[in-house]
Amino acid sequence: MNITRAQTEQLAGLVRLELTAAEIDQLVEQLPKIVDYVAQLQRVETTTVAEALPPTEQLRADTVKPSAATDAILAQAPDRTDRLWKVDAVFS
Amino acid sequence: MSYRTISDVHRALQQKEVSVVELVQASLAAIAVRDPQLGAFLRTRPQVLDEAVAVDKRLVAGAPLRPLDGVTLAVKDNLNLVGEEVTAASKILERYRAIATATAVARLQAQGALVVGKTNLDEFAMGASTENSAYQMTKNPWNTAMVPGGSSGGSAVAVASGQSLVAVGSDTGGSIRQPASFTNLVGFKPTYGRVSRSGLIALASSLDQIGPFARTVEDAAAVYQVMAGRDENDATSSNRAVDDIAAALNQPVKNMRLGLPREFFGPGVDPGVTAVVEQAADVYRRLGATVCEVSIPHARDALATYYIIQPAEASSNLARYDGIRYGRSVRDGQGLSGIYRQTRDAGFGAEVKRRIMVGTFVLSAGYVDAFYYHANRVRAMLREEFDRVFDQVDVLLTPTSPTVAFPLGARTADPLTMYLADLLTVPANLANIPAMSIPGGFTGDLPVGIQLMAREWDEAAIFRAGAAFQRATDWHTKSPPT
Repeated sequence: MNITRAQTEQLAGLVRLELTAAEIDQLVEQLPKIVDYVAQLQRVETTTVAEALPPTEQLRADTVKPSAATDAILAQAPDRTDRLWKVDAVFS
Repeated sequence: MSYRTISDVHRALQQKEVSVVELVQASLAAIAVRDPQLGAFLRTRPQVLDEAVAVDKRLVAGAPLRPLDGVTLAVKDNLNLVGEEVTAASKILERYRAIATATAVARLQAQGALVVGKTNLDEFAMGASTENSAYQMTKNPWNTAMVPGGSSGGSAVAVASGQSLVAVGSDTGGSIRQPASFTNLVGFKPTYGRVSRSGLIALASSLDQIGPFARTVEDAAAVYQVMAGRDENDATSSNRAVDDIAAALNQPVKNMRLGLPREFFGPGVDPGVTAVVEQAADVYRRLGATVCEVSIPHARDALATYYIIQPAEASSNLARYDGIRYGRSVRDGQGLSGIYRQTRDAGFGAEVKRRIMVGTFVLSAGYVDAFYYHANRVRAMLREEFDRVFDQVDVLLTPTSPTVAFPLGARTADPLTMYLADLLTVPANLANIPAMSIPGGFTGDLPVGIQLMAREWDEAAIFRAGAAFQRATDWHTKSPPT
């Protein structure tokens, strides 16, 4: 399967990876090989089959209770103001 | 002072031949001597000595032995311990400290297990050789020019080289069983949902399970038994009662039905490996089991199915690492999306980036039906075939890995050759079923694992068959050169 350089760069944008030109070069070479390998699955006829669903045994009751260790979580913020995470401008 | 099994340790503790502190000191000393060459541990836990003192006090006060008292445990560094570093062998989690202990590990500690350190892995458990760690290489103690397998290579090497008595890891597509096979250990992946995943750093949430490494099936059972069972912090953990495995361990295998699925003996499987599995089948025949050939046609498609579903789930799970809330953060004034992009580029290694890209590709509009949904339909077909085959047989016997341990560096240049290492282990994850690798023999100087698989929730059948095999053979008593 052909995956162009432009498609690879678009994918990198979607997944928020700022790849170097060398990394893009490598992925342009590798991605089609991996996708070709998994694409062999398309010869399997599945039109009459339902997808496997992940099992979920039992959901918790939807009740309010104290959350995890908030202070321990906030203490790990790369940057914060009081109890808020601080980030660069959203629109630049 | 060297104890090879939990029952050895317990006998010594009961006879006051050794204290828990001495057992922990011996483990830390072994790490200091052996690990500079092997690289199993990312870090040790000095506080484990205080924990050992507390256990000794209990025992001196007359408390009965708990199932894991005195048992030194190595924990894969994708499992959380509260307040402690945990990296998943990734630079993106630098400086991160866990906010809660993984349920499985907490249960082991509550029964006396002593966590001596955290072990190396492929970054975010993506790999089959432990070469993808951002921190260090781990070497196989049977031959230090060889990989230990992966992704739980550090946990395997810790036990195989006598640095800890047992270990835990995670298995998404073989990450416990394949390194167990490469290092002459027992490695077990329970049924999906049997052990809580709470506190395990997620790779692929519909496939991940936590499980033990040990020298014997009996010890693997002891560790598994403590971890298993419902946890309300994991909605996929099962309410089913957990079988008492101790009872299964002593049952003979006479008249047990074993199947050899022909798809697991095809091209790509080393003849030396196949020969070991055929000898194992003979052992079972001598013990009175029936052995027949069976077929699981879509097992041939399992690897391609896996390498769609797993990267898809991984790409979603890894979206949370964004440099905003914890871990590494690169900030040089290029706006919010700059933080995301630069943090992720600096923090993730090449294999992680590759899987994020592949996973997002197979989920993207235009391709999602042909790849991701299609793979989930094939997964459903595979599960049905396993269901049918377990109407004919109790346990499946196969090789664990197509090859023995391969040389360091041999597969790092071509991702697909590394993926092929998972050929025979991914079917169990896709089918949600339990599977175990057990020492089955050697080819040349390197160990070969045999794999046992059973129906969903029938862990007991695997432990029964595995324990019987170890009573009849002595492969598990062989240790690597020191």
